[in-house]
Amino acid sequence: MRARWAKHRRTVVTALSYGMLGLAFTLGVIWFFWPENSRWEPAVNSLTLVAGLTGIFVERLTAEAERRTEVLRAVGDELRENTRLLNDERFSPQAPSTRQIYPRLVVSAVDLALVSGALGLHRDAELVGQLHRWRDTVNLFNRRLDLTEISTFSETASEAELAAFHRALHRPDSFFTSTCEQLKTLLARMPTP
Amino acid sequence: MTEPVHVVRRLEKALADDDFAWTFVLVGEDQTDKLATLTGDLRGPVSETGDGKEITSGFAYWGIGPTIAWANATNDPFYLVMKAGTESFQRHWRKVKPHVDKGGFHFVSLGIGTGVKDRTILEDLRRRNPDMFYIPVDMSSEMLRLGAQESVRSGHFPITQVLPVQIDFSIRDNMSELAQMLGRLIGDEPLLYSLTGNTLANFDDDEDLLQLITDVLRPQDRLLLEVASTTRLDEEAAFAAADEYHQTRAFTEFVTSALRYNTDLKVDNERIKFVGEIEDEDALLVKVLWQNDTREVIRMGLPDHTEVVLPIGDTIRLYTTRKYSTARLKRLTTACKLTPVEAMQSQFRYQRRPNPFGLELLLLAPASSGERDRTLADDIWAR
Repeated sequence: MRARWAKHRRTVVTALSYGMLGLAFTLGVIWFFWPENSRWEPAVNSLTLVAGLTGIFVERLTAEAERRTEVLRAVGDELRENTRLLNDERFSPQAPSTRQIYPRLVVSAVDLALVSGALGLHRDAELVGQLHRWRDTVNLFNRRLDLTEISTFSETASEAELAAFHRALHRPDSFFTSTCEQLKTLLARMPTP
Repeated sequence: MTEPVHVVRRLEKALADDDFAWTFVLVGEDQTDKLATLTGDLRGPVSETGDGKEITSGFAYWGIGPTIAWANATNDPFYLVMKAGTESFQRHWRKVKPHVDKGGFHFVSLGIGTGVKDRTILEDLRRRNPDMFYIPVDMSSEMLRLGAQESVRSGHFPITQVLPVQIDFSIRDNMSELAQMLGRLIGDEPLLYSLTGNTLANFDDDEDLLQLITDVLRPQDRLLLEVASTTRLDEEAAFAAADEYHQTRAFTEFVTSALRYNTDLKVDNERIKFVGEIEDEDALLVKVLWQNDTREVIRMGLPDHTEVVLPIGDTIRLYTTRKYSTARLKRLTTACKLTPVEAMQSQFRYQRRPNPFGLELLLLAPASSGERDRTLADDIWAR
């Protein structure tokens, strides 16, 4: 209920402000042609004053919405970039079992989104939880890449061990596979900005 | 006309609520054949190194005399290795347990021992599969009865789900027949075989024994193997390994009991030698020998009322055991195409100074299971 109100409150407050301004304008025109009724003036003034006050909220809500849109767009772009990185040929099952430096997943837009406060407390509660989990996943994923590189670049690493790393990366139950699935789910659930 | 009801089907009802301590055992071999084998082994060639006459693994526990001696040895508070082994098994099993939690396994215990370890395993397996069967297998019916007291009676495992089998599982045909019988009994359901208490090390050809067990494993079956381990392979470690067994009088009584029980040899504990040596550069081999170190020839009467002459210096190998290095275990499992699903190793901690000896518990899967050797890479990329 609170989430639904948070989603529609800008529309409601804007409609109210513009409605009152429109009504004040209509009363002003009527007052112009029939000036003998002395009650037109307070009615027009009161409506204008209230519309001015609600207009402040409209402005603030609009700014918040724009900030949220920007943040969601940046997070969406970052997630698509991460999809591209996970599809990199170095992560491909067909890639040769050789030593290599792997690309790291990025998480800066998600970090910014979480600390900016641009995501609504109630409206985006589920998304915030998912982004926190994604951030943890990316950190663990990158840490595993560090360990893989340290192990494969050591002098004693044999061909069999390099092949084992390649195989472990592409196991159906590997952390790589679960990271790809989590990213896919997150992208599908991202709200349209 | 109604068909006659088989005695086995009636037995369950007949034994229900009976307080008498019945033991139901399936005997797979003619015991006179076993006596002939033992007699034959004691007629081996003359050897001063313990490689002639011998009492092979299963016979060390065969008969009521050796069984009582074994029970005394395991209860001896000075036999610290036994105590430490039981404690470390509990720790190791906790780590291995998750791998067999979901399978709905039945349990085949090869060499029941004291039954303490079987009891731990049964408690956990039965929680997951209340209808499971427990099939302890041993060459000695006395050992089966002794071990089952702990694993079944003390562990409150339903007696109706226990089928003790008396058979020498180190003989290929016996193992094959046992596996076929179990296959008919439980169908495609998985079996967890266990070979604990360093039993593998008691056999002259340990690789051959492991191979014949591996040969009966179906893809869904697993083998729990417990062996004594060593981190050092030098003369000092070999001497220490032999000395470990020498320290306990009850263990000496046990290893000589088969000789006392089956022959008329007057066994003097002073003639028992504990010899440690490095085997194939990857294990420590301990041979427990009786040696004729007197100045005269000794005559030994055998169960078939014949006599064997024991010249000066001649030996009878009473017991064989080993301590395995990681390299030897790797070699054994690779040769038998077994994949370690889980492995836990820990050192003995009952001494103040660092001890190279410990125990290792491995859960092994046959190559046909599709399980792969768990590597560092798998650990890093595990979910």
